[in-house]
Amino acid sequence: MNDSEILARIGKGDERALDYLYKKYYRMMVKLVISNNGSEGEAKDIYQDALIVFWQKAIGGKFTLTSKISTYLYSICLNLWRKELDRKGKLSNEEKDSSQFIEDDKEERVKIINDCINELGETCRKVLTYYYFDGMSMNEIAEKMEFANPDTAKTKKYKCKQRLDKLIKSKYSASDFLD
Amino acid sequence: MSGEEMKAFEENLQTDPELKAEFQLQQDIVNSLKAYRKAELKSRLDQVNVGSYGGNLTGLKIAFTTAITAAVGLGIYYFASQEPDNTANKVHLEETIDIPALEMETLPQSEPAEIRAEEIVPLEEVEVSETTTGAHLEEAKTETASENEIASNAGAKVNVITPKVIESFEGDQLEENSTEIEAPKNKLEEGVGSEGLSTVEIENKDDNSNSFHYKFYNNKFYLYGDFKNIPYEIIEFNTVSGKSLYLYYQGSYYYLELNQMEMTPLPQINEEKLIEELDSLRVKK
Repeated sequence: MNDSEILARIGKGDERALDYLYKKYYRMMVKLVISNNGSEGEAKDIYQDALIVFWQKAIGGKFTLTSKISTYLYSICLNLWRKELDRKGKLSNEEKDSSQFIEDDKEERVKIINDCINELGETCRKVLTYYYFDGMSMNEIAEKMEFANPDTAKTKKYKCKQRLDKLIKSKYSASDFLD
Repeated sequence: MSGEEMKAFEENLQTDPELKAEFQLQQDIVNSLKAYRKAELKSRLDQVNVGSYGGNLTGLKIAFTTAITAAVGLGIYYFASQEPDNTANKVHLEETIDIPALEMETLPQSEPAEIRAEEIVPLEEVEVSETTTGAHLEEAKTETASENEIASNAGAKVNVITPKVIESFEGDQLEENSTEIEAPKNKLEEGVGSEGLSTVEIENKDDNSNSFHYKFYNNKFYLYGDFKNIPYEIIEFNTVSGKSLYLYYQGSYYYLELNQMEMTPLPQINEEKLIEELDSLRVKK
């Protein structure tokens, strides 16, 4: 597949195009991180994050790329790794402790939310993630999910969101979140 | 939201705690949904078979190392197999030795019939030769262990000196007016201290190119030079250490090597003690 075909597939939400890109440029992106004091695990994580960033931008079909996909991915990887190196360099022990304290509190809350997301049905999860993460329109969601029309998709999204909110709130009182 | 709506909303967030709590909850929910989707995509990418970046290199290194080792091994084997095979030369030399006929001088046609290995030849056969015109004597003496010293001295290297030509030969065994040279049988039979007859054959060869040479082949000594016209004596010692032979010719003694298969000049003995012993043995006869 050439770059235009890849972009077209990603615009329609075809995740197989993402698999193709991942495999095609894996060694090149991993080499970038490894050659800059990174491990293969870190390189893999950085490359996946970069691909997801590219996916978020490219999905919807409105993304205009002026360079090759490999060049764009390479620049994303480079920026992400630089940020990671800066974060590692700036992070002191005290900062680690304090941030850890904060993270523990938030992590608990996030865990509750994730548990509730998992309790949702697959359709609700897809609709909500397509909407909030992939940035798909109701028309695209309807087409992808094979709904009758965009309004059906919109209604579905509303109901799924309401259900999620209810699940989360049922597990914790409002006072827990205020704390 | 428009700019004014956003500004009003932010002011309400600061003043209304419930609104703020709900806002933060919704932020967390959306963030969690995004994280969930991101994790889902990353999980999908983890399933894609891209191999290991380091593993490929390790495999390449192993393959490369194996190839290099195999090439080095083949090279060593190739060059080792190119070394000259000395065993073939050795075999050739041995074969050369085993085929002495190639190195031998031309022999009379009667020779093949007379070639025998380790055969005891009676003196009568040894001394009788139709082509021999000079008188020669052979003495076989059996000595005791006292001759071991002489035998050991016989192995010493001596200078080769061309014998002097003598005008006359004094020998009591020689019969005057004799046209044929025959060793007196009686004298030979009653040799001093003799316990047996000589087992060595002697043959004279006229060869101007190899004057005063000898060789030993097939239990026979071949003397090259003017041995037909000038008499000579062969002195044989048989001791526990083995057999030793000496040639007495024109007043000088020469050592005869039993294993001398190649033609070589007769080595003259210069050791005075050995010469005295040999003289005493000759006198005893």
